[in-house]
Amino acid sequence: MAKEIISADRIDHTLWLGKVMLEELGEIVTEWDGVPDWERVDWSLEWEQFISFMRHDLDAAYKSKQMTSQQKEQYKELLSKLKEVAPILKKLNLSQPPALLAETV
Amino acid sequence: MSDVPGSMSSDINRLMLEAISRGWLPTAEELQQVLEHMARAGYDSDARERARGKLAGLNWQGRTLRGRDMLPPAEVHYLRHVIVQKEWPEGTTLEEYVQSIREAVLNPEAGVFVNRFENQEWQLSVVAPTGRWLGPRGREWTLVEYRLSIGHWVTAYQLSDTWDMIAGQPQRSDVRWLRR
Repeated sequence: MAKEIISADRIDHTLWLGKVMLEELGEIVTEWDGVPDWERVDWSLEWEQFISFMRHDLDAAYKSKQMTSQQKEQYKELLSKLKEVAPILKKLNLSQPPALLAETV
Repeated sequence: MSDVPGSMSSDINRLMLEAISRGWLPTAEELQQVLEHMARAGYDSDARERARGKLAGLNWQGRTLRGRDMLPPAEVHYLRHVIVQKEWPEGTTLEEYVQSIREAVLNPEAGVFVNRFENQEWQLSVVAPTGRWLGPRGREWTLVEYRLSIGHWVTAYQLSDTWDMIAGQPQRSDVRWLRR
């Protein structure tokens, strides 16, 4: 099967998104019970989209060696930060990053 | 964003909620009526939602947004998914974004399932081919989430996951496909 080309823009954007989602997670976890129900659901769904992007962009690009060395470093740093917040993700019933679950990195 | 009078809309919503919670499986005609109702519902124009970090620093309607700014949900989702994440084609307007969601809901090729999110309220979820609304960072499918308790869309965005992966997200329970 032909290797799917993942653009550098897509990889960079998902790396940026990861940083922003982690910042938003740090903020929303402190106000989780006070946020309107629909807004909490909305944010959970945003998180699921980010996890989907990780799977299709970052994990796939890493495994198929399509990342630059700088992108690889940023990806590993992102995974490390995601590992640190794993207990929060579990508490809020949010998906874990697939690479962490599979321990492929 | 809805063109159905408020009281009639909430009656339809209540009936849908009762029917769905009792395990109702609609006929094709009934499903079409449900989807037309969902397509009309739109985002809640009376609600306000935090812009948060993703939109911080963005210029919108003559001002620079801060994370704590409160905006109508339609604008928040438009800015996130069309302007920042470029899931929709460059130049897509807010009105076109909303119209594209209506088209997704009414797309006869879309998968439709009901589910409870966080073991609480019922949602109607539609996964449609993105088609002509595919942007530079767009994805194969457009997901639209409608929360019955509020009678409005919660979000609409693009992703590449399979229908089963979307329906299998950890927050969802009591998943029942109405069309696939």
